[in-house]
Amino acid sequence: MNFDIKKYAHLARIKLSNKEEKKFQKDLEKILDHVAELEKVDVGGVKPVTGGTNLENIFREDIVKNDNLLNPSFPEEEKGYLKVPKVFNND
Amino acid sequence: MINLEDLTIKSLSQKLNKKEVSVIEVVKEYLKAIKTRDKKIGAYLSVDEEGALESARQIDASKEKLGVLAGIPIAVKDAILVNGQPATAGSKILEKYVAPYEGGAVERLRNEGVIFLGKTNMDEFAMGSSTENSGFKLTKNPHDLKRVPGGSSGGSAAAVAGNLALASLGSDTGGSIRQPAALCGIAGLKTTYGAVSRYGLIAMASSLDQIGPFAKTVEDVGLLFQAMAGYDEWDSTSNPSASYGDELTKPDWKKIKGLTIGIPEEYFGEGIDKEVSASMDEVINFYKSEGFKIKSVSMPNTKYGLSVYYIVMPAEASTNLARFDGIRYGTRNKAKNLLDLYLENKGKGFGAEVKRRITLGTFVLSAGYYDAYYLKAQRVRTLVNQDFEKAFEKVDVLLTPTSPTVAFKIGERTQNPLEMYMSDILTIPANLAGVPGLNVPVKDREGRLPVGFQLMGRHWQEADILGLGMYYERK
Repeated sequence: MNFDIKKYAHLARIKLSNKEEKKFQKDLEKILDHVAELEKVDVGGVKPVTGGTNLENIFREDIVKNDNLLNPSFPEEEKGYLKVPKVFNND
Repeated sequence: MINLEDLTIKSLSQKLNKKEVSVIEVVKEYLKAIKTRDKKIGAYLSVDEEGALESARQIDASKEKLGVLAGIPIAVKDAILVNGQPATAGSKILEKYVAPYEGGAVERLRNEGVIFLGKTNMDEFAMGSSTENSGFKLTKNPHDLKRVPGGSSGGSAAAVAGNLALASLGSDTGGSIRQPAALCGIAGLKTTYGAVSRYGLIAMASSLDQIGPFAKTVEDVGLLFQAMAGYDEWDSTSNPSASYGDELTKPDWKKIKGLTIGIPEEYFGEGIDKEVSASMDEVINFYKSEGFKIKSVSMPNTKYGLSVYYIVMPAEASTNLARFDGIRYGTRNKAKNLLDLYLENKGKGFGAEVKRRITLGTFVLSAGYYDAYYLKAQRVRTLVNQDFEKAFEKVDVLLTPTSPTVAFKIGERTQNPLEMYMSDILTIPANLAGVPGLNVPVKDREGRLPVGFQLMGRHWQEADILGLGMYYERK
């Protein structure tokens, strides 16, 4: 299995060191070789599982249970709001 | 003086009600045990001494008759939120995170008067089978400090086996409760999908994760499960019609004796240690000699379980873990733009196994590969699940080994991920199908490493496997 570790690590937004790239390339190729056994399984007419349960949608009123639950864990905040870096850059 | 080694939830509850001992004495004894002995075992990541003592004082001051769980000191896996306590999920990326609310299962237990001693070590984000992937430290098997306790809930299992908590909570995605329970010689239950609230569980793979209890006896596991189970509107996968009663802890013995036990041949194939298969023979002979009906069954798609799991699980994990990007959680490393911020924070914050699985999950979900990998795996998963349906037409309960081997040495499997993944080959199918699974420790193994057997039952029929386990435990 040819696997482009650089491409998928970048899609996942994970920076890997050169050493990690080499090791994961080998590891993931081994794993993908193993799971390739599924190729030969005949699944004609078999429906895929779509979750852990066959439940239908479950609804509840969208009412806030408890305010300010998240901001104590914000890495940067201002006046109770989450501060994020600029999304648009000039360069 | 309390002997922690002999204590069970059942026996402590009786002692507390007879006022032979106070909750505060018991809690102090556990805190002392943690202080003196956890340096060697490494079960805990954080201990809430003050909170545990305060809860103990409150229960001692209460005038009412205590419920069976009141004053019972337990430990909680660090992926499950206990209000005001750290919740790292074993990851550096959440090193400073403090739970801002209480998890659903924890809340139910707290309402019963359960005392929370602290949070236990685990593989980072529950990804592993030995707790060696923790971002913080190693946990050792109390039966042999050179060996792993299993994983990913290794800290929770070691805490109970090492008498550093009377019971504990873990989560099980592919065996993370049952396998460490087997390796540490205690009981552990993976509950039916939807039976226990996952509100406040840091998610790994949402179609597989379940919270469940560890304890020294099957009966104790049943007591905790009975209190934890039930609908929670804050978990949309929790089942509104789930309901359990006293049958979980007070089995209808006539019904239990009428159960047919299935032996799926595919779980007894190559890769199973001689010592483990010999123990299984003993257990099967026990049930036979007690007059239980035993039947051979075939579950031919079991062999695909591991491959299905290593596509579905990383796919779900890669989406669940996308939130740990340095924006809302954890510390934020400086970066020159938004893209760099993501790359830096995830690159530095996650450990090797987490990066491996996120990258793999991203690949199997990517355009061009989705059908070949993810969709294909979900179809084969249907076949694995149909094996269970067919087997349960013929038998009531399935009996298998829990882990192919006894506890392995620290470092033995860390270099080869696939070899580590094989540790869960017998526990993964129950997660794929959402059925309950219980590890029961094999008896009379003093001086040898623990072995456990697994009982799997139909959806919502925890009473069958708990009853069958209690039958073995008491004889």
